[in-house]
This record gives sequence, structure tokens and C-alpha cells, in this order.
Amino acid sequence: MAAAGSPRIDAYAVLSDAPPTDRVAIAAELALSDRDPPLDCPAYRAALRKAVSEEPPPFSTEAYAKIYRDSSVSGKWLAISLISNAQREGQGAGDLWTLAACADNEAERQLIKRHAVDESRHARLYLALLDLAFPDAVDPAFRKELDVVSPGFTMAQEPSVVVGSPYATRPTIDLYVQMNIAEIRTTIHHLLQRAALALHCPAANLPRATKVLDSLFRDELSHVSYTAELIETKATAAGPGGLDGLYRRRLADFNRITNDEFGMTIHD
Amino acid sequence: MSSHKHPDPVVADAITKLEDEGRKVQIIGQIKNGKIEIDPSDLADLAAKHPNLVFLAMNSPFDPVVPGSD
Repeated sequence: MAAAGSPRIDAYAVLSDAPPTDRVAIAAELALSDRDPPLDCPAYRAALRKAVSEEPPPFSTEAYAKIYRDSSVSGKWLAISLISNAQREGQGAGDLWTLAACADNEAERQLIKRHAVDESRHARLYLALLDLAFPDAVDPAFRKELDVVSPGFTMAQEPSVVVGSPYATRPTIDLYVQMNIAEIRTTIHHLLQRAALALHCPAANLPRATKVLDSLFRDELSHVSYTAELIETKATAAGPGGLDGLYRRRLADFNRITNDEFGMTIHD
Repeated sequence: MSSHKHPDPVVADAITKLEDEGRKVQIIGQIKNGKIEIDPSDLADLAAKHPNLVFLAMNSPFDPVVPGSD
């Protein structure tokens, strides 16, 4: 949220105008400044900037954006990508629900629970984007089945351990760093998705699709900022190498995961 | 659909093809044991033309916790 009385920054415009290589740091800055009052988080900011400089993320390159642009001219590719993202959001919601159930600090428990509820809703929002961009494209019986990808978590429910989730553990700064990095990549994906959906979405549905995308984008920034705040609070618990070392190590891990997903090293 | 020509020739050609095809997309699949299964012929066709069906949203930690390591 923007500070009272100050104009709200158009975070989407700022991030999409930024050079791809600057987007990780800028997404984090926008997330921190989007809170009321804005967050400072000096240790987090320094660790992130150092890590990005030493381990440049492949998902923050022009090459990565170009692969997405080239692939997403295929409507079928984009439709299946939306379905896959819905499923992934639903699975992630379950992991967060599990993590919330294991938190021994009530404030953290509520924050992670809110995050899980958001991601559960995001699974449905990806399907809403599918319906808006590709009306009638999905076999009706299959489309009805797809609704199960959202676990349907609500704030009225009590978090519990989801069978099969590997995150039945007390949340640590390490897990918050991983979540923060992953959420920044997802924020960047929303820039790519918006441009692609504009190519395929029928004009009459585009305003509604844009509202869904706005909602997803705002939530991602909120998830980046709350994990940044927790990371800052727990910075002294980062272990050997401190927060700088932990953030750098986890960014390197996530860069490897990203490159492995593509079966190649992505760089400009 | 964009009315101006895309600066990337590969993308521009694909958009033209998309327009020629009448923007038709058909997806067939099922949910089996809780997992989405897209029709294999759809996927095979897609994988041949666009091998990078990734770009997945990530929101939870990415390094699974080994029981007993906490």
C-alpha cells in the first residue's frame, strides 16, 4: 500500500519499463515501497543486490523474456501454460498451508496462512485467465475437472499439514529467502504473461483479464514484501556467511533450477 | 489481437499464422490421481514446436526439507 497522501506508484509500469537485468532488484524495491509505511529492510536490500550482482538470475534477462514471447505466440502453448500455472499455484498453496500449520509464532502463522489463501485463489485466477483468453478452448468436461487444482483455502479455516507436502517444518529464514526469490520470479512472469494474453484475449474480455492480472501482480508484490520483512527481522539467524551468504547461495540454487527447467543455461 | 507488426520476425510470422488459423485453440485432457494430464498428442505436437513449456509460478520454498534435518 502506498503511504497516506502519496500517489500510488504504477508498479507494473515501472517494472515493465525497466531493463530485464534490473527487474529483480526493482521488483523488490517496488514491493518494499508499496507498504504503508514503506519498508526499509537495509540488510535484505543489501543482500539481494549483492546476490544479484554475483549470481545474475537467468529469469531477469532479455533472452528469458524472448523465449516466453516466442513460445506464447502459440495459443495452445499459452493455454497449457496457464493450466500448468494453476496447478502449480494449488500445490504451492498446500505447501504454505503446511508451513503455516507448523509455525510456532502466531504472527508468522497468520502471514503464511494469508499467503496460502492467496495462492489457493491464484489457482482459480489462472483458470479465469484461461476462460477469458481462450473461451470454449478447453473440453468442457476437462475444464470442470480443472477446478479441483485450487484447494479452496480460506482465512476461516485452520491450517493443517497437507499429506505429501515436504514442508511440515518450523519456518526459518532460509525458507523465507527461498519464498522471496521464487515470488520475485513469479512477479516477473506476470509482465510476460500480460503482453502474451493481450495477443490472444478477445477484445471484449481484455478489461476483465487485465483486472485479474492486476490482482495477481499486487499479491506477488505483497508476498515479496512480507517475506522481505521477515528476512530482515531474522537476519541475525542466517548462520555462517550471514544473510549475504544465505541469499547468494539460495539465488544460485534457484538460478540452477530455472536453467534446469529449460535444459540449458540462459543468459544475454 | 495486436494490429501492428511485431518487431521480432519470428513472432510476427507466428502472429500472422495465428490470425490465419482463426485463433483456434483446443485443449483436451483429464485429471488422473489428482494430476492434470493433457492429451498426449496435444503435448507432443506442442513440444515439437515449443519445447520450453515451463515459466511456472513459484510461491513456496523450492528446496524440500529432509525429515529430521531441522
